[in-house]
Amino acid sequence: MQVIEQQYFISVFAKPQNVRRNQKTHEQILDYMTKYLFTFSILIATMFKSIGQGTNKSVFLNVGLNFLNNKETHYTSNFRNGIGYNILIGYEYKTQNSINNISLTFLNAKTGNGNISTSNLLQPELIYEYLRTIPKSGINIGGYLDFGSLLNFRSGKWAAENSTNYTIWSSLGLSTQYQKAVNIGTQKLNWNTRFSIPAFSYLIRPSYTFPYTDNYLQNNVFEFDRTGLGSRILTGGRFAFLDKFLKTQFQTGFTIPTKNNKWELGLNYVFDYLQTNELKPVFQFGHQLNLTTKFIK
Amino acid sequence: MKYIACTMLLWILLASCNKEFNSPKNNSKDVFNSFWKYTDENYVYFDYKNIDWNDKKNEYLNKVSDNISEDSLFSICSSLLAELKDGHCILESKNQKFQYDFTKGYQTNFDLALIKSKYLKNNFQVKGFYTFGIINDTIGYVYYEKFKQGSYFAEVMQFFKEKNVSKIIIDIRNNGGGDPEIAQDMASYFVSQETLIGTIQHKGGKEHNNFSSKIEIKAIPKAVSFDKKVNVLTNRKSFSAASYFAGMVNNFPKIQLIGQITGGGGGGTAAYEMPNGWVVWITSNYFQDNKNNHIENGVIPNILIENTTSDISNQTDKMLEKAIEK
Repeated sequence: MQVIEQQYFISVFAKPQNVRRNQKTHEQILDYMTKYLFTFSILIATMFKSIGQGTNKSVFLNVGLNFLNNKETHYTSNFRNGIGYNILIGYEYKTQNSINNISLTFLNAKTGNGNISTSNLLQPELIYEYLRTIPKSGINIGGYLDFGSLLNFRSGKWAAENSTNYTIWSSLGLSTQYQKAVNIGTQKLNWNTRFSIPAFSYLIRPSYTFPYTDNYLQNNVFEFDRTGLGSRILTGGRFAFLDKFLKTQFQTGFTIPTKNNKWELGLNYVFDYLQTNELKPVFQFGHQLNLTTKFIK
Repeated sequence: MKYIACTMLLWILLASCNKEFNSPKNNSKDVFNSFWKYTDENYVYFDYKNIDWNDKKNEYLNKVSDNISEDSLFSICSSLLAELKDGHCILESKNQKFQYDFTKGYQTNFDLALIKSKYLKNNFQVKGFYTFGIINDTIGYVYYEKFKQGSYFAEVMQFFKEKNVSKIIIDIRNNGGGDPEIAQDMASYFVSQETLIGTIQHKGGKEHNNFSSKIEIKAIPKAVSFDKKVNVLTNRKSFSAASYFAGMVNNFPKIQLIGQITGGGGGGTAAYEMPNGWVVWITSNYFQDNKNNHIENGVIPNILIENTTSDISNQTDKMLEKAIEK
């Protein structure tokens, strides 16, 4: 047995420069995420200015750290720990009977250690939520639509076909929120807890050993220039109930209003668990600790 | 409300029951089993190579004890991997690496300096990994070192067209591979119409015989094409994408392969991290030529010939001379 010094990895679909390309793709998507976040901020500002005179509307910004444990079984037998940052920008429109909110979250993290097991994770997520208020209880119950993805780019010296992985979901789910105003001495504090769970999702995952979806590979003629790859990935998903896709979130936190009641500042903790059970599963625990800023009109 | 909460909790617990959730432990037997299992569920050539992987597990697992050293475990796993006889299968730890030596037992004597001085008379050009020139005023010769920077091949072909060569020799000896898309692109210079040059199938599930449907790969005619004779020179070190190229053009009517059987390497790899941080690469899809032949064990040339050590030391490249003559 002998180690061959000059080793070139053959890959028909993923090139030897895969790692470099992965890094580039990661940077490109990060760049897109920043642009979307900026565009979304403008959109929120516009909504804030125009909608619902005389109602309670607010914009909020959460910035924080994210501690992740991720296990992508396409790559690894282990949970990998990582740390990253997340930014959430949102808009809430509240009436006596209901709460509408829309938020966009970006998460960027690096997991693993050493030269051969690191991954860059990107998780953009857009959520629209509608809750009905149960009078005098502080409880709001409703549903949400969640469009998100977890993109996993393996870095380090991993030139192989399975160097990129993704979990893309569109979920319809149930959520509940509990809000309570607490007085500590003379200081008012708004406490908020939220729980959500998907009921039904459209889930896109790569095929068994490949970065592309099954339907792209069933095309029968491989396009080296990857013509039509994007649309085939987007149409290559499957409908999934909770037994196939689970992304549950629990968050709790508080905000303290300023004297003029225009601003609220606070802290927020989010526990997020994601799991797919399609072919090769992925598991991810996320713990976010955020600083919250809310501006109320 | 309580009923809803309990139902949700139960639902989550049920959904979470996935055996993959529990990671294997970082002890010798779990590491070995993880390595064996990943290979079992993802390697593509068990049936083609007639390997009884369960049998191999029993054979090698007996050598693994709880207090075995890391080096010994690496050696056992490497030996098991060597049973696949696949140059693309690699095991790597932080300070060790094993890759099957597919060139063992072959004489792969080759000297580019000799070709430059004796056959090209020191009149040659280098573009990327292509070294090219004219032999005997009429034969276009190009040596391709590795399948990278393939766009330069257009310039090589343009040069041959301008020189109005009667024959081309494409030398891919000692070419360890690279990007097979380049192999497909290069093959496209030698077709006058869209031509099937092979198929790819990839692993579709855990079972050894679970594959996707065949995906066709085609050569698309180029603006600059060559319809005269082409000799492709190969040796055992023509591996991976170089073997793909040999397999893609092997059935073209005006192309003949001359030299040694290629090194094979007929598939693409998937990489996986084991519980102790080692990484294993295994072949998870494979290429077949347009007559459904695997190229994993190498592509056999039409004319078999090899250089001995003394040929090269006597300043003779017999393989190239055969390609010039034929």
